[in-house]
Amino acid sequence: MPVREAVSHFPRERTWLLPALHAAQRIEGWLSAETLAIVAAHLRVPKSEVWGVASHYPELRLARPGRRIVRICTGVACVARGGRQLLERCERRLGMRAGDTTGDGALTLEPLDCAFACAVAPVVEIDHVRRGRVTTAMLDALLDTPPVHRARVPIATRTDPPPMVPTAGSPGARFTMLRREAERRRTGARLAVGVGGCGLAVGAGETLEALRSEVQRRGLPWTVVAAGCSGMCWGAPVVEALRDGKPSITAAHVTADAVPRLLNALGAGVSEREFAVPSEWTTPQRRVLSERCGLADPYDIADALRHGTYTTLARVLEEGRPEAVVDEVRIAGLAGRGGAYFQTAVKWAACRAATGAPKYVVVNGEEGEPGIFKDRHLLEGDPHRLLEATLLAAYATGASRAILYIHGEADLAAERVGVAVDQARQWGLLGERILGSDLSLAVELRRGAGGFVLGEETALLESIEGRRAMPRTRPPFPVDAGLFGKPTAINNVETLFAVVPIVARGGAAFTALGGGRGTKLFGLSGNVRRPGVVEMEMGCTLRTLLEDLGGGGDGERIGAVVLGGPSGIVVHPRQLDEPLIPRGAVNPGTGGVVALGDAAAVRAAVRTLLAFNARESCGKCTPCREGTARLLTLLDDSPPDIARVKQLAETVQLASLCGLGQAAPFAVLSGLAEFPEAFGGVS
Amino acid sequence: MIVSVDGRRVEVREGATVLDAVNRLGIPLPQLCKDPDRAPLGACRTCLVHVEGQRGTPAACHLPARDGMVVDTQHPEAVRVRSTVLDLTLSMLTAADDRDGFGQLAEAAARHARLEPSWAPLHHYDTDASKSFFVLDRDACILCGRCAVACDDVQQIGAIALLGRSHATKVGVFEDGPMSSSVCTSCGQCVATCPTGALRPKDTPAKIARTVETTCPYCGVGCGIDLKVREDGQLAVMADDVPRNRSSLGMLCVKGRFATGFVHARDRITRPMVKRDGRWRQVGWDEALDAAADGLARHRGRFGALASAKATNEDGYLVQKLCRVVMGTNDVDHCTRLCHSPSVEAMLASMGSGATSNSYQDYEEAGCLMVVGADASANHPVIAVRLRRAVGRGARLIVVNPKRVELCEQADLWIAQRPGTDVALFNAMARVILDEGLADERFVETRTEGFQAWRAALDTYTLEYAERVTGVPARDIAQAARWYARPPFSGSCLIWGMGITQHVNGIHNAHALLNLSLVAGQMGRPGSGISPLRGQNNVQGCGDAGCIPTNLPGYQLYEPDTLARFEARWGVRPPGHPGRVVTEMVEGCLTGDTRAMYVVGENPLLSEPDLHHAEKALDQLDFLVVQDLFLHETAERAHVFLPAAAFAEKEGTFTNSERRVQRVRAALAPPGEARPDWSITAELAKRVARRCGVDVGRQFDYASAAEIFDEMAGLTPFLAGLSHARLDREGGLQWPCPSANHEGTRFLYADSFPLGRARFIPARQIETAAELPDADYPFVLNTGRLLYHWHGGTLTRRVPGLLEIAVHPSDARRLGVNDGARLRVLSRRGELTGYALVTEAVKPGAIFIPFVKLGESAANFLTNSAFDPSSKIPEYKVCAVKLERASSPSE
Repeated sequence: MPVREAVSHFPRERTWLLPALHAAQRIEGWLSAETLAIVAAHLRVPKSEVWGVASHYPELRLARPGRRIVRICTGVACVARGGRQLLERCERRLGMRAGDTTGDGALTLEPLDCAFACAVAPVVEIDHVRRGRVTTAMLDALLDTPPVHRARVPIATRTDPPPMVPTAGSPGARFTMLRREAERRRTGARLAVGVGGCGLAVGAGETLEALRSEVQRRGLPWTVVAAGCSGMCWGAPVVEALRDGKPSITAAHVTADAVPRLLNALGAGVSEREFAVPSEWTTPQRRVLSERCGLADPYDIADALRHGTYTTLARVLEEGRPEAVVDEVRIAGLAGRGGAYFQTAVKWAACRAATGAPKYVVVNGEEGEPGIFKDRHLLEGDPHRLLEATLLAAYATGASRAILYIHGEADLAAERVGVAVDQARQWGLLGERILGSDLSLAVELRRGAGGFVLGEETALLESIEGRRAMPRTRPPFPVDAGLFGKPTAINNVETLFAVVPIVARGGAAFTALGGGRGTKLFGLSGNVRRPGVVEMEMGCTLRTLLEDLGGGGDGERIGAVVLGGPSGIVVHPRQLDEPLIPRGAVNPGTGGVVALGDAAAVRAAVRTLLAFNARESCGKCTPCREGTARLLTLLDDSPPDIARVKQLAETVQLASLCGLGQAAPFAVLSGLAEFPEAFGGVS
Repeated sequence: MIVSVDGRRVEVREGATVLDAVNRLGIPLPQLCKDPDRAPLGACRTCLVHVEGQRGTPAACHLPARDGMVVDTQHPEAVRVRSTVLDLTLSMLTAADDRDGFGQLAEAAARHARLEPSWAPLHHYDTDASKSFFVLDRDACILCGRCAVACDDVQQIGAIALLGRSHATKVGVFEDGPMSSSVCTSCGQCVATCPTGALRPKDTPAKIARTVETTCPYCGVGCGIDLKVREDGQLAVMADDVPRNRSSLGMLCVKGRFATGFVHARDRITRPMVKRDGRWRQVGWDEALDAAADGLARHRGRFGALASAKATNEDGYLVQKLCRVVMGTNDVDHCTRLCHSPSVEAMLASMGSGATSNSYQDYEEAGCLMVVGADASANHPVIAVRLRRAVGRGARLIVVNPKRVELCEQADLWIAQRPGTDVALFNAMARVILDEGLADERFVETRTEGFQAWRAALDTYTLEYAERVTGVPARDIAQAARWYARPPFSGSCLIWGMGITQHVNGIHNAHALLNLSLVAGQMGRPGSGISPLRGQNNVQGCGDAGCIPTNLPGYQLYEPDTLARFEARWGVRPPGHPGRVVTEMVEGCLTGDTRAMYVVGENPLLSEPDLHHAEKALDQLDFLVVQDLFLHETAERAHVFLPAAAFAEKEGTFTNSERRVQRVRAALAPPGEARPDWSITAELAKRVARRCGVDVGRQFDYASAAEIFDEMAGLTPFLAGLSHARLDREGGLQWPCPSANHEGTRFLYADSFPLGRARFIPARQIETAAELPDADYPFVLNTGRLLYHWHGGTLTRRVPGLLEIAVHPSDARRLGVNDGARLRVLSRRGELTGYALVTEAVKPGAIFIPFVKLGESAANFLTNSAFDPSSKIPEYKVCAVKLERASSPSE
């Protein structure tokens, strides 16, 4: 039996529970009681506990799904772009309710909390393939197409041999040899297709295939690579033409059928101006963290090395002063980009000072908030920078183990990080005594299984330990007793991406930006003409984001903005000129920016967010578990009893154990305060 | 640290929480999810307070107290938010008549003037009453999670868990089935911790008048229990655990939790009885004791006594004193003969002490646990918890057992050897250790003797030979040897049970194991040791107290100096040569060497092998005195019955498997005229002495059990530092504890052995068993115990049940029987009927029957009385039987 076989490869420890369940579900499509019993027996976890865990994570299936699975995204951005109407159309056409499976087991229809491709909303997933910018006509066509069993397109094609890893010399000397090796592997002119989560949903995979075969057919000197996304989701599929010594050319809307025209134009020696990207899009941005997204080949460590990745690590190891890394981060004032904006240096210094071994660095790449997709963007676009940052974090904190925890459905990000980890190991940049220094780091890649609460760092630790994602009480704090009770530094992906330039260029260079706060990534989606991922100096305004970069409302004026996802707020247009500053008047949160249209959209968005929070409540503490559910019923009253809503919201905020509950009522409260008319009455 | 709460100052220790401070002041603050003995969960959010200078309403249960902190539990914001949380909590529940309110929650709600919830419950559930002793009533559940912690973290059972997410979270079991479908062992830890009565005992609630901390009367683990005495003078069905007990750490199993009620059994005998003309007559104590004394005095010289491993140390001490001082004999024994005599004898021969060398704590710290022939989950559930915890911390678990016991599920390696081939297995492991250079050479060199001779005796035990004899793949044998000798961290613990001892070659088995521990040097340091798992609550103490024919109290030898010391104290010199063991005493009934017996708290007519034979023997006795709670099979044949007090009705001490001497305390007065065993034995001794003309002076005049203990401690060097008063003050202590300021001993053999050096004693694989299957009797019968019954069932079988005969599916198919079909089992000695339990837990060709007696069926009607020539243990574990389909009772 393949499941038994697959499960038997895991060490018999509880920490492997989620990976084993994932492995089993990948094989059978769901988790039967028999399968769970096999997992329980092998990992020596009580069966009931396994059931408790499997029934806790939204992405694990305890019921057999239909042979065809249709999932319609009802995240806040998709709802703003008609996702709910698509779901209702499916229900009508298929004669079934969302969440059900047809009696003959042919088809399962499900709402999807978020496909995290918000910039190409609305998104539909059929037979595990995602489609963006879906119209009703497209939906009908997709439903009419019989299921085809498609082999997944291999996006990575490189099979470079590993280099000779230098075994003598100082870290710097050894690294220089690696750099030389990377230079030897230079490929020349490249066509980088923006293959990110969003791009794939609108045909980037097809563009990549077409480009590869056409370049080969014509015998052109281009190397075609699958890169990440430059953030120009609005223009996807995007192709970047990278020529040594010349400015790059960015071509938008390159669908597969546009490939010959692009190659013709490139062959005719067109100037980059003819492809110029609107300056309103590029000029306001300050791309520091995401500087290589869309340009780098995420499958090629040599490309990363040529562009300077790991150089900072080598320098730091050469200098041998881990505390200097903490100092630079402290000077930079880097604050956690997961939305809480806690001082990273404080965390690292505490972890460094804590007693206990081994110490852990946990990279929180769970990113499970509808309306934000910037961490995926970074992971897909530049995975080696994440590894370099993780190494720096480990060096700074004294950690010898790192866990990269990536969202269960972010397959592309996980694949690229996985390849990067393998290559970094081959190049001697992960493992024992890296570059001959006293830094050793064992890295493990773990996948989540859904659960917004994993943004809460202690819930994430519970998950890694093979338990239900339920937050722990604090103290102790993870820096003192985190993963397996050992000192643990947990950082968001974006935070770590900022570490590399900070250590490379000094903390002061970072504080020179964004009024001392550096740069921040934002995801633009919903009612805007140019949705995508942008990097701005902190303190920019929503107006810049939505009107300059986003190009304003798409079809209707922007009537409101959801900022920061389910833990965030609804912003009134009159606040569009407030600078986005952590703990300021308008807090950017994680950086999700979903533009809405009219008042109806506000009410729909607030309800979507609150329902999401109620669903995502882990169930541990009473105010969040019961309170969010009761808030939802109060909100559905017409008109809602505002006083009761406010009183209950106060309790949920003040009494909940973790940030999910504490922030859950924000959207409702701000919605009621700013848009009383949307809720049918006076506030 | 000084903290101010509601204007009152209180001092708390470093590391305390604000809730600790609140509770120290006795300020009422709801704390539904906080088990007083466990870490905070932070789930119920009802202990919210206000702290000066701090925003919000932190939960007191996980808020560290700081010096100078000013806490206000009555701050308006805290009260308002708390009240809304209580409202949300109440809104989860459905009131019903059969519920006695919602415990703590109802009180807290009333204090916050929250009498009616604002919302109707989101969910309704049917009550799950599928377990015998308690219900799961989710309509009273607030999802605090305490039960899941109790089940998974405390007891490591994992029967119940939190299922699902968000408001649809619920307490449940695998597949969301009924509780009875789970691995729940009814330990009741969840019931004890539930704050709202969602998990509650089935018996009707009653006011508790007082609680008395004592020691569990069941197995040798020696858990602390709090007996709850109801206002009507009866024990509540459910006893509480004692977290501060150092042996049990607050754990209990089903027996300790729910099965102390046997003291109130209706068939308890509470008045002395004398048999006249074949009929029992109730008489006064004087008449009964005189009758008993007459009969015993008449047969001085042809007398034997059986002491009880269920009674206290003090009780046992007096039984042996009666024998040695009054009856002039060392013919006193107890049930250890039937369980661990090979272990004890082998350990005495090899090391000079028969006790478990390590503590339970060492199981948890070990890097490798090898559990041989023991089903700890059934027989020592709380030790099984410790083993599971060790596995959870990464220890290797090797289970050696022909039967698939529950621990096999956790094991890294399960070795299922052919029954009776243990020596070949362990000798081959020893060879692997030697051949691969894994021996602890320093230990062997400095701490042992006899190594070379032993090594030479291992020559024939190659892996190939062992594989052929045992049926275990050679690579598994080698793997076990490697893990045991070189665990991944810390040391290795060797744990064994009846599977090793109850064989005709039991003592060879034990030596083979001990040699393994010696060559690997796995004793005398933390995380290592050798442990025979003791069956009865006080089997250790009964031996310590001298209820064995081979040694005086404290395992002291019959040497002139020792005898003189006892004579000085007792006024009479004990006989200077070993007496007869129980199996010999029983055989003596047939030869006339035994004419009278004094049997205290034992039922040999259930526990002896080949019961027909044993019945015949005891029937030959001229005079039998039985002292017990119940008129069991042996008692029915007695001439005098003396009603004894149960554990809950007397003072004394038990000594558990980790040598911890613990107090037993009276929670109730004995019913009727029953008396504590020690006082009966003392009175009897005086009367027999008078009749025999032995001058015992005031030797049997004791005012209390404490006095007896002091006398025993005075004669036993390893107990010299102990007294009831000290145990009351400090809790249980582990011997050796030679002086009043000695803190007790966690593990033995740190520096030396009682013999100086430990001895390698070669063990031979002799014939595998006295009776092997043949054409007429083609099945191997294995006997043992079950979780829900204790030993022969004198205490526990007063619960309805079925005798189940475990059969492998392939055999069941051949016999044409399904699960639950009636089966007849026949051996050359007897037969019984029961119900087929078709399971892969046994191998093809083998069957398993618990030795509890249910109805008129007992496995020991079938077993063989062949015994190990040295330790005299009967071979319970192997005999040949045949199986037949039996017609159902209605046919």
